[in-house]
Amino acid sequence: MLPPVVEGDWKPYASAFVEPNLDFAPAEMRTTAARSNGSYVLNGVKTMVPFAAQAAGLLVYASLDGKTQAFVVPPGSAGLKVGDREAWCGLNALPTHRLTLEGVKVPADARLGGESGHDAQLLIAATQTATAALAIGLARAAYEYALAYAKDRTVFGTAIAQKQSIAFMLAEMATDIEAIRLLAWEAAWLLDQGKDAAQAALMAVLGGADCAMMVTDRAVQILGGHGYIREHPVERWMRNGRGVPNFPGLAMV
Amino acid sequence: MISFEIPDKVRNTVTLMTMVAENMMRPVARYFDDHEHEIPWDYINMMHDANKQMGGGGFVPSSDKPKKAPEGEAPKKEGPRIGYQRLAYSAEVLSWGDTGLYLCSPVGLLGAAAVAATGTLEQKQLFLTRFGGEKPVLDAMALTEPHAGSAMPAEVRTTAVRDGDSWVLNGEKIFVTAGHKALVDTQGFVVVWATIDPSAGRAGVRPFVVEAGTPGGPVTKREHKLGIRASDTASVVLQDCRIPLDNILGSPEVEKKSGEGFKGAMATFDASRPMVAASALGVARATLEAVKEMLAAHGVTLRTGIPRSRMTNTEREVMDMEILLRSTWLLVLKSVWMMDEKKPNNLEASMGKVRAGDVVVRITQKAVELLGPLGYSREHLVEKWFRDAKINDLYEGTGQINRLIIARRILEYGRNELA
Ligand SMILES: Cc1cc2nc3c(=O)[nH]c(=O)nc-3n(C[C@H](O)[C@H](O)[C@H](O)COP(=O)(O)OP(=O)(O)OC[C@H]3O[C@@H](n4cnc5c(N)ncnc54)[C@H](O)[C@@H]3O)c2cc1C
Repeated sequence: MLPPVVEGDWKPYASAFVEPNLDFAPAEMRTTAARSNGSYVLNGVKTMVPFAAQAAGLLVYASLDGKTQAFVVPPGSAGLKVGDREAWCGLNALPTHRLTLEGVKVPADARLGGESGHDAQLLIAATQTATAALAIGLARAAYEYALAYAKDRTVFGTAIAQKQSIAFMLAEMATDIEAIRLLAWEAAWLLDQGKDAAQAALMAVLGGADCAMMVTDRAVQILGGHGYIREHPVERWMRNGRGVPNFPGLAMV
Repeated sequence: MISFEIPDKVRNTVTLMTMVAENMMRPVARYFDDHEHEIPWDYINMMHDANKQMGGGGFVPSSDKPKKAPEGEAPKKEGPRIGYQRLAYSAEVLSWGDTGLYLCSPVGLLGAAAVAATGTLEQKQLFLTRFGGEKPVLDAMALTEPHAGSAMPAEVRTTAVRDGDSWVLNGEKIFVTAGHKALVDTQGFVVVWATIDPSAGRAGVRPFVVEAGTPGGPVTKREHKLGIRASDTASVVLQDCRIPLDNILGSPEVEKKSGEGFKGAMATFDASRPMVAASALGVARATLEAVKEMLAAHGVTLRTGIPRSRMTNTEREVMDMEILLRSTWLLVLKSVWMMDEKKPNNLEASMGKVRAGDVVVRITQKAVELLGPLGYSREHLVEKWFRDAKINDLYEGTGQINRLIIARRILEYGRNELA
């Protein structure tokens, strides 16, 4: 299954992970998988499925006997409905769709890991770690932009960066980015070592979400009214930053 | 390659220090909080014996210690440098035991760090070997004066005047951690910051070693405090205090332009701030562990691996504490790893200090709140840790001063551009 993905030209392979519920939890999917004569039948609704309309393949997460498992679903399967492109607060470069599964039937070998299945926690930890790194990158972009702006913009004859209330915000942004980055690296290191990374990855992604929100919010603040105007990228980073808690689903491909 | 593994040698230190913390510190932590100014001799003597057994080198990393290569022998092959990492772990674990007692360790702390960072080989030999001597000794560092703390060392008023083959010191130092133990209770020393040229501003400021028993260096007062009561906080009034010429750390010349001598002296803070941060995080860890234990004892289970939207308030608070604690500890480790690797760590040292100060204050304050009357009660140590915690946001540069340092670094500003 993997060679065409890694060796071929780029094609979108999407994962259907997030569900449109306010208390969505990866370990308790509402989408279900049931055994039926040597195959699996999937039912449920997914949201934030990237590239769902063009996907060359889909990985659908569903609850099988109360355990989250992933299933390879070919596009165009009977009972699979791809909705219109979704509209979000941010992340507008990425096309995502709602996916409805009504009695979608896949063969037994479509389950990742075959008959015995797989440890979905490992996938979740890996994507949480990737999401944490993404959050830090996003935060760093906003921090660097705000820092450069603060040195350039003058009020009452001095750069705003020369005011402690601005300089201290920047100091805290830099410190948070530095600390949370190490948390993400630690989770990645644990994954590389084949060690249990569940707690570290969860901490990294939660820390990353807070960091991205705090830093992007302050970046807008440092630009003042100009930060609110779409001419500068900081309002976009702020919108993207608020999406981080939902990213683990998006980062899963 | 980057590694998050504790080096084996450090792991052994942690095991040993944890035993000390559990057996020699926790059981008496409340007693010395209740009996301020009593001296914890049992702890001091035990640490002294342990230090002697480990070679007497104390807490000063071996790379900064005077080296005595046995005659005719090739110098030993050096392993990876872990001295400052080991130090940070020790500070963390001993403060997990009790910060006030940790500050009474007769192993060379702030004063020794200044000697290690700025002294000559002879000075290190003279002042640092005493930690492995017959009796325990403590050291201290005196920078703060009644009129200024944060503005130091720029506004040092204590003077050092050369007179023949001695320096004569005059002035008043306050808030000297372990000052009484260093000068009165043991034959230790205090590193006193004084100016050799008041017209030169900060460029004229140097650290000097004032040893116990020096006439004209009396300890006049011990403060009563919010926390860390096992540690004495002393005033030292220097009146024509005469010390040997060689007791100046760094150059006796004033380079008004370059300010080299002063800059060298400031390097001690890059070594000491991570230790304060580590010490703060020891208290934070102790508190977080106590919170989890007390919750468990009262039948509150903390679920793991669930999203925030499903957490109870308590679960969320505890999770946030875990995130803050771990991320900050990694930051502190990075800053000491940089020390060991001889990389400039001025920015990371201040980052770790700022964040550790914030984190320990937040965690301890929240813990008292979460645990309700149990948190507030003097029957448990949590209320004490809440009081102990706050010092970490104050000494070795307040949170504001360390933010200033970070800000100047990231903005590439000098003190004239950002004050
Ligand atoms: C228990 C204890 C132990 C101590 N141990 C030692 C020791 O061993 N050796 C030693 O030399 N000192 C020691 N100190 C002193 C400590 O380092 C100082 O108290 C600290 O540096 C602050 O100085 P200050 O108290 O004079 O406050 P100030 O300098 O008067 O500061 C008051 C407030 O103004 C803020 N502030 C000051 N300057 C600025 C600025 N430029 N920008 C923004 N805000 C600013 C500060 O952050 C603080 O909030 C100890 C203090 C205590 C309480």
